[in-house]
Amino acid sequence: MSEAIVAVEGLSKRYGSVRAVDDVSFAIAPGQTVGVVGESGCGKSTTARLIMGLERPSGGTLRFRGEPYGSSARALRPVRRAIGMIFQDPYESLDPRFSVRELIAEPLRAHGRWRDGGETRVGELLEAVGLGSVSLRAAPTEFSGGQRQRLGIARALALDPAVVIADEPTSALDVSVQAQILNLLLELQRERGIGLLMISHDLHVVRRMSDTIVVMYAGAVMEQGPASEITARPRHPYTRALLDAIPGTSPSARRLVGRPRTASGIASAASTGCPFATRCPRVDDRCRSERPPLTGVPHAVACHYPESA
Amino acid sequence: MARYLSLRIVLGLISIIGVVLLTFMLQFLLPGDPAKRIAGPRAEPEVLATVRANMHLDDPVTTQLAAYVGSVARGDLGISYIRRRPVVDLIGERLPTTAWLAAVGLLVELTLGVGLGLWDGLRRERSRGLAAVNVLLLSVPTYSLGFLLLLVFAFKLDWLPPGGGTGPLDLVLPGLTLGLFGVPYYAAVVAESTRAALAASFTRTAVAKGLPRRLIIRRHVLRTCISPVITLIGLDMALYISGVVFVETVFAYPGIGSLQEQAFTEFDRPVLMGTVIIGAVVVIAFNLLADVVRALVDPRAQVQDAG
Amino acid sequence: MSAHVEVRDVNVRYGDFQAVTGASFAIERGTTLALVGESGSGKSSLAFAIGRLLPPGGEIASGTVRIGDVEVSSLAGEELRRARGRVVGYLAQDSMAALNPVLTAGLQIAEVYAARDGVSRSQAKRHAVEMLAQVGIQRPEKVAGMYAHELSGGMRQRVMIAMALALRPQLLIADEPTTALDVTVQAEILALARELQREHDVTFLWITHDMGVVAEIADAVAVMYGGRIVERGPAGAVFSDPVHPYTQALLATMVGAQEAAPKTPFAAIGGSPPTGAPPPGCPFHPRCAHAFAPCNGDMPATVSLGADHTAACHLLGVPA
Repeated sequence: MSEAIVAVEGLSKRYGSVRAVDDVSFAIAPGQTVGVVGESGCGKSTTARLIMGLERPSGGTLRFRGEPYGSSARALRPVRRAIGMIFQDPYESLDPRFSVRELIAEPLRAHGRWRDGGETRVGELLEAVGLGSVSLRAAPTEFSGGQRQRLGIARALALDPAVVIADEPTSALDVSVQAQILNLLLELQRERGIGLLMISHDLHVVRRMSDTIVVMYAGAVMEQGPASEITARPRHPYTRALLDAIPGTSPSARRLVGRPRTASGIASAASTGCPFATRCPRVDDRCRSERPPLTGVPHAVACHYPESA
Repeated sequence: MARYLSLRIVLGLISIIGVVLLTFMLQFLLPGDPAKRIAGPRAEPEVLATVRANMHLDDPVTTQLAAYVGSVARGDLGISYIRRRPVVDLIGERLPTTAWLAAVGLLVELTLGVGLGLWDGLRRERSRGLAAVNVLLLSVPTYSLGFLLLLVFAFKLDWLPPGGGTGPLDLVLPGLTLGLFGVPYYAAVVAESTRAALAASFTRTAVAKGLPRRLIIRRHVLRTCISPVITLIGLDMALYISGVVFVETVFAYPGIGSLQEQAFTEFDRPVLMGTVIIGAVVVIAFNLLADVVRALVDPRAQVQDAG
Repeated sequence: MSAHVEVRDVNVRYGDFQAVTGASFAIERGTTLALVGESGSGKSSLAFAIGRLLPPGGEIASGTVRIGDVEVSSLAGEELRRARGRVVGYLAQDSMAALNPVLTAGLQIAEVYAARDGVSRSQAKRHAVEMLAQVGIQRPEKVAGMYAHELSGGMRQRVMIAMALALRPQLLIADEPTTALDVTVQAEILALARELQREHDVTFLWITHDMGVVAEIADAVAVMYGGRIVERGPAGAVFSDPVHPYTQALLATMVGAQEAAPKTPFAAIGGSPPTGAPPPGCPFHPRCAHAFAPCNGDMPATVSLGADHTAACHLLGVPA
């Protein structure tokens, strides 16, 4: 996609022999959402950190509006200004010693945007996230979890980002509050044309929020494509497993009964062959020895024996 | 574990080399002419020149350094200017004496510190008792504590010898002074870890399983306190050694500490440098030992090393 | 014929703060009651009260808890200790924190036996390995020698289940045991819990905030908000005919997330759960779409809707 704001091409990150992120590619376009989904340790958060330049990639290219950017502080400055970040835990990501005003003013000051109308900007941002009536002098500790996450979103929006990365933005919140936050993100995206990178372990949240879904396992992409395709017609056994693991919506529609029940030591990804081979129900010798490439457009799958489309 | 251990040993050796270099440079800061210390203040210039030549004092600094490092590496710390005996022998003679003192001090420190810490940590609320003991021990300077004990128990009550000897009774007052100094720190660390362990989720699990309280405390709470105590012993070792030197001086206890103190007042460079190097070796060795012991009692420590 | 577990009119207080008010429910042997609520709902306080695990300062101010023929709420001292693990067991949410980091998994199960009956050390160890096998762990001897940090989240939770079930408690309180797990592992643990229930007649009080988990595991449901049970009943009835607006909203949130079209707004409940003392009247009224005059004044009475289904809402007093 030529109009992509942020593009990731063959992105990789190794820690010693561990492939935390392995040849991941996607592009975030204005007003569009890329959802990255997978279990803990699949590399989804590392991918976000690599994009933000918080870690140095081992391979691949990161592009901002078509131009590759490196990991030097100077190259990252305009990128970081254009990417807002929303964190999982609104209790830990906001410094309790700061007031509401200071929390939102901080990114403005850091990027020299405070002088011209910083004060009014703080008011606008709070209004935009539905905190128009709170005191500017309040401390974040006086707020509920949902309000803190709204504050986190206001901070992420302070510099008018073109892209927002949301790393599990609702998993620390009460269920009755999660929907408010997701609706706020949808609304802000619609109003401002923000490109969103939504990282979550919850395939249903990702499906509802995203245009494109990237399913990751052990650092690698298992399946990637249009959101509706991935959830309605999953082709990779791992995507199928993720969907099957989601509880039903009523006691009359239980889905998790009679599943295999043994567990062995520590789960490990296969070193050669398909990373999912150790857990795959359809595994055979080819899967253990030969790594399947990611193929297919727009619905790509990395499996020797994908479910038929 | 093996990789971690060898890395730590290599790092320890590097630190010891650093200390050797530092002590070598330090000797140039000491006042007085070594040749005069040996030949006497009224020695003839020719005699002084001979002594200087024998001691290689006129050689270039680099040559002297190479010779010094070489002999230290061979275990030769030189010969005392005053006592005219090998420094290694002087230190060797006094090592057991000092080791006894250090051991008694550590025993006092651990028994009282851990005991007080547990007593406080197992109570629901922080006790005033511990706070009072801490204020007392932390606000009284060590030297006055030593002199106070000396005054009361040796001179006033005449229960214990005032010092100079090496018998078991001679160990009591110096050991107590040395140990009391560290008590507040151990008590605080133990009280905090006990409190944390009691409030921990795993203690709730143990309670929910119906374990007797005594077993919960012995197995679940105390086990998790061992690791921080060992860490503290390692961290405190450098300070502890300076405590040994000080206590030996106050009580005229004939160990390595008082040897070092005398060497300092007598400008006996080889003895001073030798005792400093020995001190550094002991500190480094104990830190290493503390890490190894901690890795043995705390399974989590091993994992961090592997990564 | 009275129920296997009976919780009657329990109030839990921490000093001046009333965390749970008038909680009552019953659980039949070999079934699961899901206690549903968000932060501040009082569900954990109620669970701790039933398991007699309230932290210092917390107390059962009034009410009774009976499990089997033991009145748990009046136990004390050695009697209480003996009841733990045998009458009522507890399964914690965060298995990493709930297992002792410096003791092996095997020892932590074995000590449950060793502390009783005069079972020998080697017998206790054998029992522990058997329990690990029973919760579906392959190579249980090896896992028995491992520490918490060496195990995956799912394995740790299986170890916790083995430990909690070691003495075959009459009631097992499961305090959000799958919340910290990946969905795939959660599915395994839920399936395991149901299988253990089928095989060994385990009775569960399952604490959760996730209606999906409730749908999978519960025979009966009690929904808590602001320290009170606002609705309870058989799972089928509560899911098909939710009466309280809060239950309705929770279900709408879940069903909507799974079925609605992409990029359309989620069904949301405004506001947030109360953090301190709940407001006067019905605790849910500040967030309720149907709130009317009496809601901010009186606490609505609990009304029976037949077949064990009850709810506390002023709308029930309004003629249709």
